[in-house]
Amino acid sequence: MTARLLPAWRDLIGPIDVLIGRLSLLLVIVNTNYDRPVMIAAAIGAAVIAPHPRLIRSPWPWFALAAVIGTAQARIWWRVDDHVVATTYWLIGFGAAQFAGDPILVLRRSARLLVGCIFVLAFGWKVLSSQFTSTEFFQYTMVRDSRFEVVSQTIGGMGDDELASARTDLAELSRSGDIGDRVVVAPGPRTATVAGLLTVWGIGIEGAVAASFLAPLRGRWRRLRPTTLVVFCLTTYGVVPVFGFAALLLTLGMMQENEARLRPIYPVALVLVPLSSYLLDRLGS
Amino acid sequence: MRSAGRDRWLALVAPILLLAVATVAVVRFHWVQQSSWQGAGFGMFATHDYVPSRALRATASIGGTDRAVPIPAGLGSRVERVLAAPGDAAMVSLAEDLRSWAGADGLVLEVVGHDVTLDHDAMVVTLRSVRRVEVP
Repeated sequence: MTARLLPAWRDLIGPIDVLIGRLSLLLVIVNTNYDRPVMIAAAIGAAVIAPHPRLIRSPWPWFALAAVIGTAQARIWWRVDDHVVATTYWLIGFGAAQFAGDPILVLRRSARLLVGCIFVLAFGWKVLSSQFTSTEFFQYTMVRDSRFEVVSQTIGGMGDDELASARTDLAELSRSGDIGDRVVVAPGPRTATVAGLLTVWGIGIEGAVAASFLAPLRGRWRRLRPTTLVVFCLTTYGVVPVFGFAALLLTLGMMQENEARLRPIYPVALVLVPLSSYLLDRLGS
Repeated sequence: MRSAGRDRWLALVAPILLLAVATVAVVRFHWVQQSSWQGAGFGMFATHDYVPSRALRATASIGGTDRAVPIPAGLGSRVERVLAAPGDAAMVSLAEDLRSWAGADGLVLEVVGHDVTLDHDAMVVTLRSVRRVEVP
C-alpha cells in the first residue's frame, strides 16, 4: 500500500520546477489584492495550467497570466501592495526561464536574485529613512497601526484607554486640525525600548537576508539563506500577518534552494507563519 | 557556451524589471511625494508618511464665502491615488472636478499629514501640509 502511495505522492509533488510552478499558480490566486475578477481569472488559469507539466514548462501561459494580472495592477497601481507586483515579476521570470537551456538553473538564480533585490530595497529605504532610524516610525506605528496592538499593549505596556484615546486624537487632528496643531501622545512604559529593538532587528534581519541572497556563498555558508529568510518570515509575518508576502518569499526561497533536503523547511515555515500570528493574537486578547 | 550566456540574462529578467520599477518609485518619492509604501519600491514599513496617516480636505469659495466641502464617497479611488502621490497631476484634476461638482468659484484642495517628534516622555504629532492646490 505504502509502496503504491509513494509514487503517487511523488507524482503530485513532481520535479522541483513543476512543484514551484504549481505553488506559483496558487501564489497568484493569493496575491490578487482582493480584486475578485482578477482572482477568478487567476483561479481559472491555475486550474487549466496546474495539472499539465507540459503547460507549466511552456513560457506562454506564464506570460499570458502576467499580462492579465499586470494590466489589472497597473490600472490601480496606488492600491496594489508591493508583493502583489513582485508576484507578477516572478510569473514573467518563470516564463522567461522556459527559453533557457537549463530552466531549473535559471529559475533558481532568478528566485535568489529576486529575494536579494527585494531585501536590498527594503533595507535601503529603512537605513536612509531618518523616521525609521530614529525609532519614530515604530513609536508612531505602535499607536496608529492596529496590527501592532499586541506589541504596543502586551510588550510596550500601553493601556486600552490610552491607546484608544491616542488614536481618536490623531484621527481628529487629521480631520479638523489646523496646520501646526499638535497632539501629545503618552507612550507606554516600554514603548521606546520596544521601538528601539524593532528598529535594530528590522535593519539587521533585512540586511542579513539581502547579503546572504546576493553574496556568492559556497558550501555550508549557503544555509544562511534559508536561515535568515525563515527567521525573517516568522518574526515579521508572525506579528504583521501579510500571508501573501510570506508565501511569495518562501516559494522563491524553496526554488533557489539547491540542497533538496532543506526544501521542506519552507513549507513548514509557511504553516508556522499564520500559526504564530494566531497565537500572538490570542496572547494579546 | 552561447546557451550559458543567454541563461544568465534570462535569470536577470525578473530582477531587472523589479529594479526598474523600484527606481521609478524612488524618483516619484522625491518628486511627487509618493509614499514609499506605494508603487512597488519596497519601502513599506520605512516611513509613517503613508496613505492612512494622510488626509484630504477641500475648501470651496462660493459667492465670497469659504466653506469645507465633503469629498463624495464615489471618488474613493481617486482620493486614494492623490493621497499616495499628492505631487502629480491627479491632484489638480481632482481639484478641478470637485470645483465643478460643488459649483464653486474657486477651490483649495490640501493633503495633510503627520510630523512626529520624540520628546523624553512623549511623542508629539504635528499636522503639516503635504501639498496644497488652488483652482483656478
